[in-house]
Amino acid sequence: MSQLLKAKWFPSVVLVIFFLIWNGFFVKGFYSAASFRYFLNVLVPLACIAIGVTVTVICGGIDLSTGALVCVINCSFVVLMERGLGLGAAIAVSMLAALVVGVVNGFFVAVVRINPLLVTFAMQTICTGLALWIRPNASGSGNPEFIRWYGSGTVLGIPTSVLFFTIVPLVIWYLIKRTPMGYWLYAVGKDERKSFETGINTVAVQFFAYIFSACMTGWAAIAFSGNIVGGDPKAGLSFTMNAIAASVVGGAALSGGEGDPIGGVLGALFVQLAIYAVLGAKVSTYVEELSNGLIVLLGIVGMMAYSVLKNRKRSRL
Amino acid sequence: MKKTDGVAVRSNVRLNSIHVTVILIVVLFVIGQGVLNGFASIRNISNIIAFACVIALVAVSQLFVMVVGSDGNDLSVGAIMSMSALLFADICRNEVARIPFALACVLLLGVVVELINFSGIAFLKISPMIMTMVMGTVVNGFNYFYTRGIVSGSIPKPIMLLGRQIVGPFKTIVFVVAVILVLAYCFLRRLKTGKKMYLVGSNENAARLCGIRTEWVKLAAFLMSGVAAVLAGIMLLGLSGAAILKMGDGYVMMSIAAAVIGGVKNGEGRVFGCFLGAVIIQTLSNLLIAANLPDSLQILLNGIVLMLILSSFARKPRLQS
Repeated sequence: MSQLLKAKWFPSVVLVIFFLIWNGFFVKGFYSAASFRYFLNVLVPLACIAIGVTVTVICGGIDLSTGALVCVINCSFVVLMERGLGLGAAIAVSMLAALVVGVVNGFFVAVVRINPLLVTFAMQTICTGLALWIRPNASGSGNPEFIRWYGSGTVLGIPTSVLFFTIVPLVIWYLIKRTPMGYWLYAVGKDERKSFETGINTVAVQFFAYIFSACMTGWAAIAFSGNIVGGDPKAGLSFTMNAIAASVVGGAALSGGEGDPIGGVLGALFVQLAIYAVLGAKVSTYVEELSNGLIVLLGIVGMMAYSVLKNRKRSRL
Repeated sequence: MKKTDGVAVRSNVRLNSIHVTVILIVVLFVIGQGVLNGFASIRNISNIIAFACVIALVAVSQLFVMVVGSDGNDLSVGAIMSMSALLFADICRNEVARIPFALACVLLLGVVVELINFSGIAFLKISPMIMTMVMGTVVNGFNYFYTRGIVSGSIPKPIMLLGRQIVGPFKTIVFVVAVILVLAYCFLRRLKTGKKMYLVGSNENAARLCGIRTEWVKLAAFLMSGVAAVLAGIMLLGLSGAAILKMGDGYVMMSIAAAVIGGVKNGEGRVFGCFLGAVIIQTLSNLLIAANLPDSLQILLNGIVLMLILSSFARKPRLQS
């Protein structure tokens, strides 16, 4: 119990519990089976991206290309299936495309050595163009079998969406964390130069972080395609900011070396719950964009203020 | 002694990079003339320079934030531009007498946005790019909320004049922006606050030990950035003749590219460099339009160009050295 209180992501647990209760009271039918399942299906892609983004943050970087990459993979996934590719082949090709984006990001961050914010920002522009080129307007129908499987299937009572797109990535991360790569990621994030001097291959570690993030994003994009049915070149753009907010609320320090993907998942839960809470308040649609932005802003500001105050208390003692 | 050496070496490098950019501009025009006859005509050049002026203003706004250091870019400038254009048109409602009031309003709002940016960055240690990106979304949301998706009001005549030709082949906007750029230059190079910005950017600790109040200097830089972004929004309004939601978003990437080409870094950067960078970026996007590429490929190529520019101008030192 005391360990739970000490965890960096503890505040996000409190926020999530608060909003779970709040939404139960103020969002009509939030806990009915169908609508809660829909809530989980909407949440899952964000949680999956947040896992990847948290890993880049741990490694001392950031990934701003996630939202645009979701659009690219979403469009290519739908287009590939329209061209007659099977579900498995379409997933494989899409994941390969995500991998390529991760390799390019990693190359410019680790080898060419440019500020990761700028690299992934440029990549965001490239991906936005790419998505519009693949599919200029939102259209398409997707694979009905996949959508049914994603939307309402269960395995051992766990929704398929949550199992395959959040629990499996988390398990993969905890397996990685037990290998040396897990330690190296935290070390490089804490101090790149010292890690280099102790003989860690910093280039490989940074490459790994960006490839991992891009693969998680690609995987999330496939989940997203099960959710929005067709291919839309702009629908995924808001993921960039929401995922960063999720990992910050989940206790990842933007200065690097601290954080945990489980915190990212909790942060994603907070962001999605808060968005639902605003929707449930039946505000006019004109406020939606503003309120979503404010949720992200307040999440980041609140968490940073919390950690500043906590550090101040500690330094006084 | 050491310090003067540093400045001398640096000014040498800058001179070179300006030569390179001028050569690049000429090369782009030669290619453009090859792709489309009439690309290097006076009319097209005047058009390119008019739009480059808007980019140059945003790049100067970027320069203020980049010069004071901490690896910051301002990603909220695009949203501030859209806000200033939309609100300016809305408040003016075609009455010339309301221009000063509208100008004051949008300037105030731009400054407030940058003040919030600065508070988050300075007090809560949020990294500048993330803070400004989130603020950009909030401001865009505010624009949508304020206008309800429908742009009301119209643009008063004096602002429309910015996009017309009055003297010679150049549009009025060129002269207005030239005056603003000269003012920005004087602020950075002649006023104490401006000079301090370069000192804070090149070595914050040393600047603090010299008795400079670094946080105040940084605050000044952010506020100036907001002012430049607001003015850029009004210039864009005059040039394009209509206020559109999110009209400034595309300028974020272009302004970063222009500033990086212009040699802006922590503690370094020239207003004239920003202008040349802006001309390159605008020529390039004009070239893509002349080549008749669809929008999506233009965005794609712009991104690739930004990546290439960053790899040649913005590399960090290697760990081994």
